[in-house]
Amino acid sequence: MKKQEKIIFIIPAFNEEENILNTYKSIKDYNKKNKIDYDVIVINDGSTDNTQSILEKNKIPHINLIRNLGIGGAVQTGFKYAIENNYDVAIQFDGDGQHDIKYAKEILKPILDKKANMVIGSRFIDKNSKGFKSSFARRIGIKLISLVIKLKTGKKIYDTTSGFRAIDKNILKIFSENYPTEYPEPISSVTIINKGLEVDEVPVEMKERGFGKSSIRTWKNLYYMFNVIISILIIGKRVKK
Amino acid sequence: MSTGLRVVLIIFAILWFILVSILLKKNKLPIKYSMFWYAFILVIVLLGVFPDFLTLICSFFRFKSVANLVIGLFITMLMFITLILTAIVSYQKKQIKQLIQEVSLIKSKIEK
Repeated sequence: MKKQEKIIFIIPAFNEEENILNTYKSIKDYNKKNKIDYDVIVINDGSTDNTQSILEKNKIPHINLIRNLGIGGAVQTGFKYAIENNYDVAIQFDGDGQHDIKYAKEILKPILDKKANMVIGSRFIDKNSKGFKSSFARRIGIKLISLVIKLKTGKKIYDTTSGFRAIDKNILKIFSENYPTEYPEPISSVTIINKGLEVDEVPVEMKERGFGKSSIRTWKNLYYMFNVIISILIIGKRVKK
Repeated sequence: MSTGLRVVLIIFAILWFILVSILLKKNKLPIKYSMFWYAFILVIVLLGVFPDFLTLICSFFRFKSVANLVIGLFITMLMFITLILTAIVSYQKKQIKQLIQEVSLIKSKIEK
């Protein structure tokens, strides 16, 4: 019999008082329904609303960052926690209700089958899928970043900014040491492909955020894209210290 | 170069020298950075005392006046310092991030 892999959901949360409890419950319900035991760790990224008291009141396992670090720093804290506690697989999962737990199995499968080191839940693989696909401007941006990644690495990644992704222990180790603070999703994928590790994409549907504002605002789109593309082009050219 | 500009340069250098020395004495400026500033002051004094060098560069690059060249040099140096400072700040930001992460992890472990 195969050894049971230890799996943890890492949920970064910044001011998610309206969504975080539902997100946590959805994972727990999923566990119960499928008789599995995925652990959860919420990284409370210095929220200024009631997120912390909700986490404490409902006994949701969490780490309070003593200062706000932004998405990259928060998720990386989760990776460090996963390494310290000897997890085999980590799934990054948004706390805002965009991600649907029912795709967890699909996202985990390539990793558990040892076919991939990182799996991205992608909105754009299945052309017929409904679900939330982001605004028009942002989709263009995602396509462009995708093209740059393809040119740079030769590998096509459709949903470059998806924050719904699973990584295995090899990548956990890499990311807990070094994870980009800015634009972590597209840039970290390129780092992984460059290291010769296997990245896979599986189709998922996403919902619109439950409540509150996304961390990427429309007017920042162009700036975001420009930065990501420059960063991707520069990766690998940097001298390791 | 006009005598006025030379006097201004040297007065500026003296004031700068006093300021750097005070900061150094009060332990508000590390020695390695003070070396940079003293070198900078030295260059200004040399330029004030021997202006011929500047006039030479000026005619070579066809600057209209030595004053323009002096301002140009200062601006270049300021931009250089800003760039270095940006790099230092980013490095420190990374270190602070690691500190926040480690402290938060340890804190949550203790509170459990």
